[in-house]
Amino acid sequence: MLANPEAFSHTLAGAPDLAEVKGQPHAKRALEIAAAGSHNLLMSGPPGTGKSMLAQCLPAILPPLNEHEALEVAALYSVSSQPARTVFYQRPFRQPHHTSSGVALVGGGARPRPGEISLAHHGVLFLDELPEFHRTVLDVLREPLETGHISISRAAQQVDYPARFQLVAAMNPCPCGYLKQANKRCADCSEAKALKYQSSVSGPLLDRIDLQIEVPALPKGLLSSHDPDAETSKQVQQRVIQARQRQLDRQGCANAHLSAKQVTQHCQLTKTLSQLLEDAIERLGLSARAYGRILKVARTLADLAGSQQIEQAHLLEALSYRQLERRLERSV
Amino acid sequence: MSLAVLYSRAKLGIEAPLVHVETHLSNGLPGFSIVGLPETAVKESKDRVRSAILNSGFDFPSQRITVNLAPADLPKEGGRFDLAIALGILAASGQIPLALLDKYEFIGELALTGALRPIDGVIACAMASGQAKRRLVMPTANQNEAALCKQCECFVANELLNICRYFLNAEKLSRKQIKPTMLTHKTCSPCSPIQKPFLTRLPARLI
Repeated sequence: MLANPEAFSHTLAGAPDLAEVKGQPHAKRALEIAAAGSHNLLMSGPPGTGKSMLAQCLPAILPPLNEHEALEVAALYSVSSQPARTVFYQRPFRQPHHTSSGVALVGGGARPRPGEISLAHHGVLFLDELPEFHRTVLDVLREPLETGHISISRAAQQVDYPARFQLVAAMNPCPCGYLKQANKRCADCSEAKALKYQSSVSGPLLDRIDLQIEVPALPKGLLSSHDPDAETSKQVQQRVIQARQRQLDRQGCANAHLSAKQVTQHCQLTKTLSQLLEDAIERLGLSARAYGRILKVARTLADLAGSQQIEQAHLLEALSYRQLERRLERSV
Repeated sequence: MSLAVLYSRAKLGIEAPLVHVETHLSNGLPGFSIVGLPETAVKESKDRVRSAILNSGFDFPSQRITVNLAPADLPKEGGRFDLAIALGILAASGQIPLALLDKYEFIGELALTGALRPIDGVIACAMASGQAKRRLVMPTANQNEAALCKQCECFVANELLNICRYFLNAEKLSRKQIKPTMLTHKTCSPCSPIQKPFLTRLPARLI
């Protein structure tokens, strides 16, 4: 039982490999960025395009936990009476169902216990079918997403649990799921209905999601094709580990966890680029928080490319990952 | 000696604050009371401890027994104090020597048979005991978790009786250098991350 080789491999048993996901190069790229900088990710697209599968690939491409982090995670599992972790250095992956309550997510109870966000500490919290979660439940995630810990106060005692998790969410663009699909009937989803569905994810929560991408339906003929050169999770993980190491050497944490002060220090832009970003922020109506988060994503892109400085291409790509928010913004 | 003070650890978030388990035997009407903000599972430990002591072949003192779990304002929950309470009663009634008990911390739930049942939050206890430079005695079922914490010197046991025998032999131990066979002595050597499985490096259990 002790000498379980599984315990030290970094792939979750039964989890898919990135090479098994057909097509979706754009989404795979976003997944790699999310893994490299520990950024939050939202995938939107019709059913059956591989959103959940992509999310399940994430633990295998994330850099493994270091010993201190692994011990923190194991301690959290230990106090929550969860079965002991079999994969010690693997980042945890939690996928609560959309009927989960707020307390189940953040922790609590008369005798406080850690919730899903704490069990996803240093790992991934995957919320599939994001708009199906109750809005109040989703909004409890706002503060821990920023602070990385959660204080639970009850009459008898106050406890503080760490909760530095990476949020990955998946959603359909409308209730029936097939909005604007050429070959599918989107029965009675008007544009307004689709927007109502999408806006059940609150603006402040969306604001905290750095990467928002669309995962479109697969083009014809791709399903039966087999791409022998498809990159495996292992290959992507190598690049992610390198990019993460650059971040740790420079600032001691992942880019997504940079403080405001560190952002000004490490994410410096040239004069033309900062002008470009200011214009974009104004035109897209993004918040000051979004400004910082775009800079962090651009920093991750530069790290993935091995570049010291944030280039124009990095900044533009970072801006392109804010599409869902923009669409909702336009509709108001 | 009718007073024994042992150490145990409570659970508060992911912390494991130190709890003094003070046991006092006094003359008077035989009775058993636990004070120090115990919740139901801790209060019920009276019955588990009584049966475990009797079924391990020891005497349950027919005196007035008072157990105080200090600090008094920290809520105590679960069966984790059973072992410390049982050993406290045995030490206070002179059935096991008191001398070495303050070098150890005890956590574990007792079965009526005297067997030790696993508890949760062991990693936090092991880290805290390691920092306090005391040894931690715990149920065998929790050993995998404790093994993760390398600065803690942990002892595991299956039964209350094993632990009592260990302390009864302890004086001989230091003189004759007999290896304790009743308990598995398990110090985790430092492990390098990732490459080498650290759990396999633990010495095999002796019992």
